[in-house]
Amino acid sequence: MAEAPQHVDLLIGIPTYNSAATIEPVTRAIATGLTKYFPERSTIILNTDCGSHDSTPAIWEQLLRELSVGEVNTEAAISSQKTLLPLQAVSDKRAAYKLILERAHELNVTACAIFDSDVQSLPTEWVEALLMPICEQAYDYVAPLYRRHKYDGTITNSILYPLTRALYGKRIRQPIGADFGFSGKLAAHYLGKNMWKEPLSPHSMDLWMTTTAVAEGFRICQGYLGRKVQVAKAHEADLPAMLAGIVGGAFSLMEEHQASWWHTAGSEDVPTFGAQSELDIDASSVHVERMVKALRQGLRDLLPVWEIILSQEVMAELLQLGWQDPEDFRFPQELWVRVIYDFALAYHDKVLHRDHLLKSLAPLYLGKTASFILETRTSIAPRVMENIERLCQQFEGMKPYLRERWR
Amino acid sequence: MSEIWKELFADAFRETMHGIAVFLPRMMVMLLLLVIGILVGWIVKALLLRVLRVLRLDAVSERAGLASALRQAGIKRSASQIVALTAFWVIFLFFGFAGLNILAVSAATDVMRLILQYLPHLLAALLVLLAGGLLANFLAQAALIAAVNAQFFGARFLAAAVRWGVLSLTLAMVLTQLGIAKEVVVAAFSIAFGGVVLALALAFGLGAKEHAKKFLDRSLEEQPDQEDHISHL
Repeated sequence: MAEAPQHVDLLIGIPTYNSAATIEPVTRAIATGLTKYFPERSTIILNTDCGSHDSTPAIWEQLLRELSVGEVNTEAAISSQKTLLPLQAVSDKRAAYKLILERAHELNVTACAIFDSDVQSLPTEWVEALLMPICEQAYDYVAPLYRRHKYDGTITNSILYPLTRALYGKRIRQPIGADFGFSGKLAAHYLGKNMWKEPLSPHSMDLWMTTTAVAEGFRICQGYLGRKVQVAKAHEADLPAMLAGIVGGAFSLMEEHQASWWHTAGSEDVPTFGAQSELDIDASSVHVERMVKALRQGLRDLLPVWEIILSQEVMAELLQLGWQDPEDFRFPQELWVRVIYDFALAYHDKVLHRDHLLKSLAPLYLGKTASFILETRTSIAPRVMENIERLCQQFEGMKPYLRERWR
Repeated sequence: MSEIWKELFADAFRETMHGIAVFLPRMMVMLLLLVIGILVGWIVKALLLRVLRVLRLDAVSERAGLASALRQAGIKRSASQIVALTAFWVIFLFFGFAGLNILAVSAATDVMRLILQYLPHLLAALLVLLAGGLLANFLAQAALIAAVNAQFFGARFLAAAVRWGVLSLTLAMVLTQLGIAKEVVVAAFSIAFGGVVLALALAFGLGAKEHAKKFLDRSLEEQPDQEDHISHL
């Protein structure tokens, strides 16, 4: 077990929670990537564990013995130092991120990266993709760019990406990716924010990192990572809670960064390193009937709640959706944009208890997702990308609708 | 004889005049107090309305579901108007009681004392009613949204059951606080609540046994997200 030095070039943070199945291959891949791509630089790998009940701490102990004095140091250049730090127990994901940022700041690092431990495999190239733009080209934030299936990341495709892009004017395809890199300067800036005292869902943490960097004028780029195969976690089964956490985070950030997005019009690409984002389009089994049924039940039972949130025109158009045949179901993109903007306005005006407001979005989101799947069922990748691009342009074009009603 | 008659009439007249002389100023003071009560009450009401508007009480009550509950109960005034109006009447009654006290009418004084003794119970009952109404709305809304998201068919029925369950409990607490047929209210609530639960259990367990079995089988068999190859995140 090596002691932490006072200064290092690179810091890698790996937040874990019950990650016994994946922590070893992930850590080995990162250690190999560091040795391969940054042989001359001193690095530290820090595991911040959010109270795992499985054998994650024991596996880390074993890795600590092997990697700190084993393969990394022997493969690395003599001048560099590759160190694993003992596992740090924290209470939750926010505390995990904060600890990583504090260590980055204490060690005055050049660059830092955080990796999601819940992946089935992590290519060593990810280390290069997230750290090299910072070390070599002085970028402050590297957002991940994954290759995903057309039906993956539907919250990102239908809400987060278009909304973030329309608000802040930067086309960051994965604003909520759990793998990203940032400079030591940005780490210090993050630590200075007062967000650490406010409640924020675990899912919103990644969005907070991205949005803060974008809205506060740091140099942003994207690093292509390829496919990411995640291990399913129990919390993903609770869609309404997950959706509420993420969308609530985005709306909360809108309030915080109002000055930044108010005058922004249109959007621009951000520099991307590696391949461009593509979509996998192989056949996939999704039951849209259930999603349409969820929307119809919402139209039947949630009207008193939606009437408080949505404008009369939006309500009138929504009611017409209930009559469509499930196989030909379509949720117009313009209507969806107004739904999201109305929810953002209602969140801002606090017209309803915020948790109720956000959770009542779930049936509408399922309806929109069903429509997207039906629209793109037989589409090739470029057509799917066009569909998402049209939605983004709708969000940008209708931004005055949001501004006029925002008090 | 005529002297006695004269004296009796003179005494009666003198006493009546004395009574009027004592009562009239008291009456005047009471009327003055009532006028002052109306004026002070009106000023406080106007001030409160302004302060509560600045504090956005109406927006808060809308958000908490209080405003919609009031509308459902046929009350068309806003929360800030209700608070201001209550303040007006409390002040007016305070001055009114003081006026009655000055009149020194024993019956009025007794009534006033009884009302003053009852006032804390009345205020406590109002607070319980307000809190119960808010809680009923909040829980009913939470139950409705959760049930719709779970695609539970009887979502509205569940929400209504939550709302009326909490409101019934609130009403029982209010009546107990007011001291209205305490024992009867507690017994009636216990019997009614127990009866409803028992009736539901019997209806679901015996009457709708097959439907219950089918419903549970279907619920346990359906695992929507596991069948779909879609990742929302």
